[in-house]
Amino acid sequence: MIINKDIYILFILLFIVTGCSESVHISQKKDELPAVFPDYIDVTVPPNIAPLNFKLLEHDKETHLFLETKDYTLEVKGQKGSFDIPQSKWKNLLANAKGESIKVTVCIRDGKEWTGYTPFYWYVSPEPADSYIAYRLIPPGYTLWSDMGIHQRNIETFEETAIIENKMTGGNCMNCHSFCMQDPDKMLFHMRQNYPGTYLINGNKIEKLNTKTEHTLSALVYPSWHPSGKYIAFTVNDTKQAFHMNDPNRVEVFDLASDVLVYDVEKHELVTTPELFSKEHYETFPTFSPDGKTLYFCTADMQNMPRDFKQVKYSLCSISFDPDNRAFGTSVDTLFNGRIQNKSVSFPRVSPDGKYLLYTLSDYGNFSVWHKDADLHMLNLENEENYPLEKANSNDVESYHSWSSNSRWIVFGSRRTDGLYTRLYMAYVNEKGQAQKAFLLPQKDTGFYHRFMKSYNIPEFIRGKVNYPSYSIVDAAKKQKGIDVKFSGGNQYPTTNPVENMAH
Amino acid sequence: MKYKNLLVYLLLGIFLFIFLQFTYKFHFFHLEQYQLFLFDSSYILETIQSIGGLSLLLSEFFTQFYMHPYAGSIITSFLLTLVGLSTYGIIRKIDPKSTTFILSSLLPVLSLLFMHYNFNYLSQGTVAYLFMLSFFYVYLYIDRFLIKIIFSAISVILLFWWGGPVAILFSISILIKELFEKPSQFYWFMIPFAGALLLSLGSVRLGLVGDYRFAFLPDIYYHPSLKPSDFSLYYSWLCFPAVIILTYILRNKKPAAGVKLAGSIILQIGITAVIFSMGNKAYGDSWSLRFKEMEYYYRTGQWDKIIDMNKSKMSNYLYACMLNMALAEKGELADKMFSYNQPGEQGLIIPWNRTHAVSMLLSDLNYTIGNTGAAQCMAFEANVSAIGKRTGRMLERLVKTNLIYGEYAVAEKYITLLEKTHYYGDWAKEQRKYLYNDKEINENSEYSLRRKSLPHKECLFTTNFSDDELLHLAISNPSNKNPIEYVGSMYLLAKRLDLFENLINTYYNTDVLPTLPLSFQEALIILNENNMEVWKETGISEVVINRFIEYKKLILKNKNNQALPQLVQNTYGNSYWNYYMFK
Repeated sequence: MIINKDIYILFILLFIVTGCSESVHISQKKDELPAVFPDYIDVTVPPNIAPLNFKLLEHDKETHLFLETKDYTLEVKGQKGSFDIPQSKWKNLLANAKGESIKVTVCIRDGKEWTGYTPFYWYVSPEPADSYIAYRLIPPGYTLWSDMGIHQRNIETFEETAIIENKMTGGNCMNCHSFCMQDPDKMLFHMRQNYPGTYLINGNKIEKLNTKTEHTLSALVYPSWHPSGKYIAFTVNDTKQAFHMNDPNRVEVFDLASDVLVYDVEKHELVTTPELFSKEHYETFPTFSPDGKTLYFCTADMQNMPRDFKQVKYSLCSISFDPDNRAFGTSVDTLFNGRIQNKSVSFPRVSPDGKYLLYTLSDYGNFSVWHKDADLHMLNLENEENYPLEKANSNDVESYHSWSSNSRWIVFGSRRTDGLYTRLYMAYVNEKGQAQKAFLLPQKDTGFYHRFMKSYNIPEFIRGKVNYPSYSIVDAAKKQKGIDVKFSGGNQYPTTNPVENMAH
Repeated sequence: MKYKNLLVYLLLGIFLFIFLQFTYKFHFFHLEQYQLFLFDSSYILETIQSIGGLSLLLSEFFTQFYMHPYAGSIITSFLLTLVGLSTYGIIRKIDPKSTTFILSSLLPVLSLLFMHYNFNYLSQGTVAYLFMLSFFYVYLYIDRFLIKIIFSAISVILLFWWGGPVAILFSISILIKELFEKPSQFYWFMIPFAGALLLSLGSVRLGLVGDYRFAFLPDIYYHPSLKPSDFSLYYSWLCFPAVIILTYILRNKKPAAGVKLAGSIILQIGITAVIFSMGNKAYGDSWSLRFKEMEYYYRTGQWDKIIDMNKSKMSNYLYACMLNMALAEKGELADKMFSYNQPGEQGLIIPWNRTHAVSMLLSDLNYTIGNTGAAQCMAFEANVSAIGKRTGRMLERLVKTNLIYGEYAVAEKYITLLEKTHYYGDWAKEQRKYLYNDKEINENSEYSLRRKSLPHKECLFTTNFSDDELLHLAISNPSNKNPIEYVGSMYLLAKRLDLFENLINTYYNTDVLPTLPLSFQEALIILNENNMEVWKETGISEVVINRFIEYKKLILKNKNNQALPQLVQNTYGNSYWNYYMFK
């Protein structure tokens, strides 16, 4: 019995020693900002983001973190210089700071004294971002890929799940996932090699499409849904790649030919128009406007490839589309002339409110994910003003991007972390179309990105989770024969020269 | 008796160690490149959480030591001895008087040994097998029916988690055991079997395991991109149930004694020896051992040993590639390459076949030449196509190539990763001094030579590795002779003397090619047999000229002699003339 008493006392003492944390009082101030990874200094975040865990780049001392709003303070003890912010308290903090800011003070211990760095701020926007991002994970390699898969991340937590992984389909290639207006129930993606086809998920149905026709260059490639869900614009491409012997860009991917077509989801037919299907020009990266009446795309004069790969300059153009009659307009507008500006446009994406068009601008070509000079630019569709998103861009690659359904958030891939592995960054876009400083998608473990050996491809915001089971996709891949898509309509050999007509 | 039997397994372990060390030591050095263990809690946690994760983790842990002499042989013989010993324990528990235990317990050992010869097999399979044997051994000591059911059900779950599909083998073994022991209760033991099937099925449906064959069969212990080319992967899985059945069948027979026992033991040893011998012949993979030995010498910079190994006749592109790399490392490629048997241009630069092994070789080759971009490209390909999805040696190459390019951030990423490894850790720490420090890079001869070779002009390459790319390197850094010698040698091996002549006309007497190496001189004489002015202009040595005169006499004298090729081989076998005429 005496022994038991002693044990109780020991437990109480242990609790007192370990359970009560020492209070931290900042007695000195350091007139500098802390060096942290990820760079979360003065960023704007959505009110539904997971905790912004970060670490100090130099951490030989004990560390402590204060997160303060006007009436709430959260303290986090550092572990080897890393701050793992508790999720439930973080949620309360964000709720308290919505539309305002969180003051972030990092402290280090010098002997018995605590020194505080100059505080920085996290601005919490009133508007949330879509709660999920879908992306492909793949090694950023040259030709081989081994494991890859399309995954989805709940940005409100750290949960990541696989939509489909190629380990289930014999290690094949899967790419170009796309959603209709950020709807997780309306999705498509392609599989190549094993079980080739385009897989179209609509609610609880899945369709496998055989999309190569004798009239088109290839199976369907880059997609963009019509907002009605009745059509999907696609490209067909003859794509090649080569590697640089001495260039920071490492890999060069280019088209020898490409065209744009629109797929009729109900009739399983492809339609096009000479302006999108020219033999003398490359047409690629189609995207519909939110009202479904305009199709934007990129186009460039054909060059002697691969010799003149740097001469390929894609312009941003648009053509009208009549969804009721499945018909295209006859004139093409040029919104950005790549040849005149000596630049090249890729990945145009219109904000869901229809006010802005976000695109990637690089020195040449279309595969900007390998171009260090690639930056995000915005086109104001009301006044046609073009400008770079300076606060969101970096000295390294900014490439594929997508809009949140409320038009206030963008997510994009950037190689700024280490120059090679593409990571996801989110940036707030205000009503004037100006982006704030971007922040790296947070992870629970602050060492995750240093360890992780895959790139994030094609980030797409979605309003919820894709619940379609992986095994049902695999079943469809293995069991469905696939519907043969027909090419109907459009003039395969146009008589006009669209780019000449387009150039101002 | 018991200790005598244990001595048998001690002897087995010693025999296996000696055999593996003498026959397969280079195989283990080679295997080290297929997996990478990290002293990193996140990696350990992630691996353990996966299906079969613990066995995979242990196999990666063991593999990290394989670059140390004896380690691969010790670890493998230890694992296999444990398999033999555990099987022995199981047999003895079922039939304490068993006299057939030698053969019965060695069959699983042999079947697993044959798999260890195969570089696409992961020792994870053997670790998982040991897990299964251990659980089965414990199970044999349980008498109470209910405890048996509970234990087997838990075992199936744990085995599936830690070892993968061995849980199915375990549940089948229990079924067999109970069928012999208590046929009336046999059907109860369908529960763990059904559990194992459900776990396997569920793991595929949930996407935890990629394919049914990885959930139900030992295919999970093989390269995931390949299907086993024969049935050997399944031998050990057939062996164990067969051993149990055999032990039960023989249990009620009167045990052999005296001469019969001696005869039985001799017969078992004889059968074991025959299987061992046949298995070695069938699965020994002896052709690749030679290559693995050369690869080890390449890793450790022992160029002369590679050259020595190629003094005998050989007709293999891989060997020739290694030989030519060793000659290039010594700066002797175009002088001495025809002193050795050259099977053709693919023996100089082997075509890429998208495999891990050839990707690694091409990364080495391009690094030797000074083609940093291609070395990096192939290192990346090798890294992603390795069984373990990363290889320390190719990560080391990625560190080097990124340092050469000045891509310090990504070099740092790889350094950080390698610092967490046993074999590469110290080397990785040492590389930190080069990060963001061009001065240090320029003072390192290995890095500065290659940095200087980076082409100044815009230049793309493909995985076909053309002469154009090498010429860019040669022009960028004329002090590096390997690119120009590789281009010239490429033309000579392909017998494209027109291209060779053009090369000489363009680059001879420039910084790129100020003097002609021996084989180039020999080829130039063929091109200008009747134009001795050119001989003088291009500085062809008197020795070569006199030798050619003697060679020509031999040819003219024996032009109708069928033995001419042999005669030329005897005296001029080390010349380009011999290759050009008779290869």
